[in-house]
Amino acid sequence: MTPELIDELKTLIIETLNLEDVAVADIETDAPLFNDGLGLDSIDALELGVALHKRYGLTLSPEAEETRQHFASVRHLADYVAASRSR
Amino acid sequence: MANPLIPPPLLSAPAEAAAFYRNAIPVSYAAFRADLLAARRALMRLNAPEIVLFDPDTYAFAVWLIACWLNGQTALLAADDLPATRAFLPQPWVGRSPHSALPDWSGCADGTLAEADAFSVPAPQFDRPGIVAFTSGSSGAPTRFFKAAALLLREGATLQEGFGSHLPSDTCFVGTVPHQHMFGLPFRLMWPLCAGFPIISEQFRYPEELGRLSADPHVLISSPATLKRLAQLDTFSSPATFIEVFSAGSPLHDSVAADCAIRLGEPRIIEIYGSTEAGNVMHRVAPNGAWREQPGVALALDEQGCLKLRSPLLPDDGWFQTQDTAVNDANGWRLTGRIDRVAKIEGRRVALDAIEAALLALPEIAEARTAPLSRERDEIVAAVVLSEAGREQLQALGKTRFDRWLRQRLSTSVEPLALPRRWRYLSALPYNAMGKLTAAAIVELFERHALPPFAVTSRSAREVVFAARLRDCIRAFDGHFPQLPILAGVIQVDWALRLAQRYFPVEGHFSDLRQLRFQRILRPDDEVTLTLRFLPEKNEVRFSYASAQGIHSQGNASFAHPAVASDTAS
Repeated sequence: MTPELIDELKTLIIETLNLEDVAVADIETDAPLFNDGLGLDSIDALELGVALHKRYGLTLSPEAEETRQHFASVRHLADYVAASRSR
Repeated sequence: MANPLIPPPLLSAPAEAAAFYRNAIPVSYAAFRADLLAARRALMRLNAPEIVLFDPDTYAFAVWLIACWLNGQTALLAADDLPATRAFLPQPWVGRSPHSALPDWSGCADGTLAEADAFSVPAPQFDRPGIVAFTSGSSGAPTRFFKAAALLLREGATLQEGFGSHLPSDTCFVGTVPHQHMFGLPFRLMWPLCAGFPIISEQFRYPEELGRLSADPHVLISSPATLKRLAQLDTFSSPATFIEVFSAGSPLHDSVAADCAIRLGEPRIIEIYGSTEAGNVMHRVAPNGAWREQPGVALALDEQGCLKLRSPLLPDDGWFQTQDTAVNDANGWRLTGRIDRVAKIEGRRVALDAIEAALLALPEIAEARTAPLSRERDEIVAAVVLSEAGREQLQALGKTRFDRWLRQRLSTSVEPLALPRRWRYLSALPYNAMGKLTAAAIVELFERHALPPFAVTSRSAREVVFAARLRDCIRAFDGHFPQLPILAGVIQVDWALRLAQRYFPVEGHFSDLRQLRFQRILRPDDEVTLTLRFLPEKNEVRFSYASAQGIHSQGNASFAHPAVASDTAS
């Protein structure tokens, strides 16, 4: 997992969710994506799942708990993408 | 005579038959009956005519609900377990939530009694079995709405008659919608409970979760919010056989329905229109089917073009007025929107007045107006005028962190989907010449600022190249100038800065602009490329706009930490 992938994911989050006024530097790598951190909601989670599928060929696990852990922070997400990407 | 408060399978199903699945493990009717008895005793000890029921687990919710009815008690259905909801509902809370007086019934479990006792224990003095739902009224304050248990059970039986007669007896019900809302309650719970179909206790939040279902036949209770995303997952697979899929809450587009039909193995996809008060009103088979009224339902329009209806599922025979606008033409009924200040966000009713009241309760906010906006998704946007304290806080935090801080302050009283996602801080709200504040004027504030559809054509860690047709960003030319539309330099710089912060890990805020040159004007017919080059050692971004005619404009933007940066909050 590389710093480039972390920045790429931050860009993907901003692009996909069309977060205006949010810069790559505003997203903390270890902060939670949902609720108290970046404040994403359940629809954002669905959109992000679709974007990860399109960009990296990822298919989220049917186990909700695993998905919850992968979406815990940008760092968790980057680990997951690095390990499971098919493109 | 059969007790009308007991779904028939609770009396007739074999003890070992599966009533629910929790984490794929069956819960038998014998266990269900024993838990009902324990829950009845636990609820009797509370000795309250009304309880607040909130439990994310559908099985636990069902046990509490039926036990409460058998005791003659009324269950107030909390939509969420936010602190503000707790404050609004002071009655004792039951089920798994931080506010619960009774998180489970284990203290009253007793193996010594026969399971039939769950139904023979007499009801205490209470005699109002049913639920109270809270709908987002136009005033912003939630409106209390009582529905008798017998009516909900009748609704379950009606759904079975209308949609269930051909389902195999081992059909499982699975849902992506919560069971306590007024679509989930009849479809995910009452129907299978009354007809004896096993129910999957967890709410599935991602479409991918459907991949862990068994090969059994299934009925899926879902919403356009989930189906829209499922339609885009081209590798989706599930061992389940989907026989029927139900969608409600907001319009299900025919193209989404067609893609979902392919992904799910050609089930019958049925879109439902209904309401908390009137239950299921009409349905259509998607894609392309026309709306059909439920048996016994009569529809008409009032003078404002809003739908009104009579239904056997209403407590009386009078006309029930909705706030939904509709037309009735050669193709039948078509829903066209709403007339009140209740917005639909991905299928959920959201009262704009309630969000504004929560905003105005903050000392940082002097005036506030919210509106729904539908672009890539439905969302709430907020235009606010800050108080002196609010302006100081905005100065201190910068816009991005202040936006987030406001969302956090609201999150104890506003559910996540209704939290504003975009903010404008204004010196005055945009009242028109008539003194009116229109939703269009609020939406306008957000559209003007939208980034045009730049497509990335090449990309590396140091350089990104975008292409755009300026014709697609025509709003950027508004008022500049009516006879000779040209793209203002300030807009060109704004786009470049915002994209730079989106694509490169620049540090701090924009601080300085140098070597700025505007060489050729940009017109609406131009097709441009924008090149951004990142110089991390200087924390600078170089931008240039070019077309077939050559370079149009270029410059160097540098960024610095807030201590030395100029204030860029808008």
